[in-house]
Amino acid sequence: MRLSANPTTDTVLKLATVSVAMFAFVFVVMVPLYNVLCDALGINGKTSAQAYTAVDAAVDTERSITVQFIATNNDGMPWEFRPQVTAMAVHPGAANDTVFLRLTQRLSIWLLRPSQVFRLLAQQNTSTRRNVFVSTSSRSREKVIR
Amino acid sequence: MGDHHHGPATGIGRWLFTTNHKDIGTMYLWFSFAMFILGGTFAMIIRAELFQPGMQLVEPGFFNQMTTLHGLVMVFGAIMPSFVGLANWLIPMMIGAPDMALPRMNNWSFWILPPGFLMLASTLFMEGGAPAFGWTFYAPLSTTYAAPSVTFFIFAIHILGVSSIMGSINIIATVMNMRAPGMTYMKMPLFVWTWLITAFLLVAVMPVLAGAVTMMLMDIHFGTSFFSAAGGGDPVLFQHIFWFFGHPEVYIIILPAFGVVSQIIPAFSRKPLFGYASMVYATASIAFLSFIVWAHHMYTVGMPVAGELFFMYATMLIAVPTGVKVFNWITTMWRGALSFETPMLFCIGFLVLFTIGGFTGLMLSIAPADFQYHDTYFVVAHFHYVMVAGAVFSMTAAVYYWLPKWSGRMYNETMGKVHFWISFVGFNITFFPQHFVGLAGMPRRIPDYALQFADFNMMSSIGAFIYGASQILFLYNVLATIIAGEKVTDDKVWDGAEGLEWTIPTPAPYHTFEVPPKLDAAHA
Repeated sequence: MRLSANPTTDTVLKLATVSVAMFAFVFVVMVPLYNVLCDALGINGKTSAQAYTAVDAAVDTERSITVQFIATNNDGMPWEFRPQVTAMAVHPGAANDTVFLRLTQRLSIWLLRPSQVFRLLAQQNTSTRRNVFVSTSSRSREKVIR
Repeated sequence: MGDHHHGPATGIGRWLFTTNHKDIGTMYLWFSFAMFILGGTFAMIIRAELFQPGMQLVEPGFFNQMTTLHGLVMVFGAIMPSFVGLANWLIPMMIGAPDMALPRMNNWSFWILPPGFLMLASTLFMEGGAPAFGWTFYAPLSTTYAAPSVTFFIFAIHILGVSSIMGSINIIATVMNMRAPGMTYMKMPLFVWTWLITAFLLVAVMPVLAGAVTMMLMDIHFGTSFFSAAGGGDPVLFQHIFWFFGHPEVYIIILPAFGVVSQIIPAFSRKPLFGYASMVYATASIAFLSFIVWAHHMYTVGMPVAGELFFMYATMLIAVPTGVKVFNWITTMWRGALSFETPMLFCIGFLVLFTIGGFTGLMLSIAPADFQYHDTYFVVAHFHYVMVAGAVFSMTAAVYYWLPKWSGRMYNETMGKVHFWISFVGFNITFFPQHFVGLAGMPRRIPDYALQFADFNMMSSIGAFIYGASQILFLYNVLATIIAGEKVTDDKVWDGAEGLEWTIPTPAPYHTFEVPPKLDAAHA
């Protein structure tokens, strides 16, 4: 289709039409299409027209899952860090507690060479605040042995 | 001014009112270099702040303004206009046309750029500071939480978008209608081909960017809620629209670079380009694929698994045509009579480093792995390998390659080679360590970082200062060439160079191909 007898004008008119159409495309195609897709796929908060109703979480006693715990400790560290139990059988949905042990620095110091003691003392301010704990439940925070 | 064969006008009027493609090309090139220096200055501030951990030089808010403006100025001010300048200079000379198809629009599309960037830069001095939301300006950072200067930013984006659209319409109209008789599409130099395809990409996606900033403007000032969840909109919609523009945009930047490399490597290999037709088809394939991969920039935003898989596989597919290109360049060099002048060095540097950037791109394309890499310095390293070592290196190669034809003077080869090696080493010292800190978890766009990243960041900063300084040498070399370089008189400056632009006198006269050239056997 020729929009103009002059081939250059023809090209320019067609391209100008394309760019105007692409500008319109953003508003009249992309926005509605995005909403349709989010509705269809149930994502980005556009789950349905109805308000979300919470369902109570229940413990599934039918199923049992084994959760294993592991801790690695760099050889250079002046303390020991390990899980108290290495495996637990749990039911989905249930809260369980476990404890990771860290041998205190006072105990460890006796195992150190003098040069390491100095380094440890220098680091003490920061390292004492870095008690790492891992648990299946946040409630176990208090139970970590310090 | 009555004589048809007049030369350039005198004084400032020559530049303000010119419709000559060579003048406009020159202005584009100088403007983009000025923006390159400006954006580079922002980068130096970023690297100076990151030289050591802790807050050293600037406020965090100002740091964010620097990362944002660095990205915007480099993408829209330095790289894109530089290639438009190259297109203006070269496309008419390569296809045997007397000028661009729309010379007056050409003047206008250049002259709205400086005010646009002046406005963008002026936001630095406004209350609340410049845009600080990253060059991707995600909503709601760029809408609800933006500084008041965001409105000026939106206007600046509109201006440079209009400039790009006009420039690309001009290029398409020129290539489609003004080729010399006998210059069929499949005889066009590859630089013309890559720019033709790039121009189509620009016409298709710059309006999308304009749409995105228009929606921002309406959300900020006119009470709409395109990107506001409170009003029924969705901030994620912004990311989809932005990257629907943004991914083609990165190919808009790199495809002309491919074209430049496809001109220069054959010249210094003294062999025709290997696989010309496959190069054209590969370029077209990359352009097509660029429209269906945008969401690989937003894997972590929450998409259905099917979506992640689609975008992952589509993205990986891009490696195929890109690989075709890389292998074609290598095959062109294979058993060629190679020589290593500065343009060739930059092209080989491009080839090696762009391939590294391509491979890290493949790593990022893997959706599950991207959850680890997303928004880390690994991404920063990746896109600087493709943007700097890709686009900027090839642009530098182009300046060294065509400068003797433009100015009639030869640059200093030793200085050129020194520039290459300082750039190459400086670039790698800057960006290679960023792979490591990224994989180790350092997030991008932060003014301070954890202590374990200190050594690599210091290396990065030193490399950045070296790379930045090497550009001053480049500027000096170009100026010294134009003012007092050794005169060149051969039409064909490089013995291996092919193409119509090497059949016209050196320096290129103000008007060329007023009578269409007859294509001889070498070009037909």
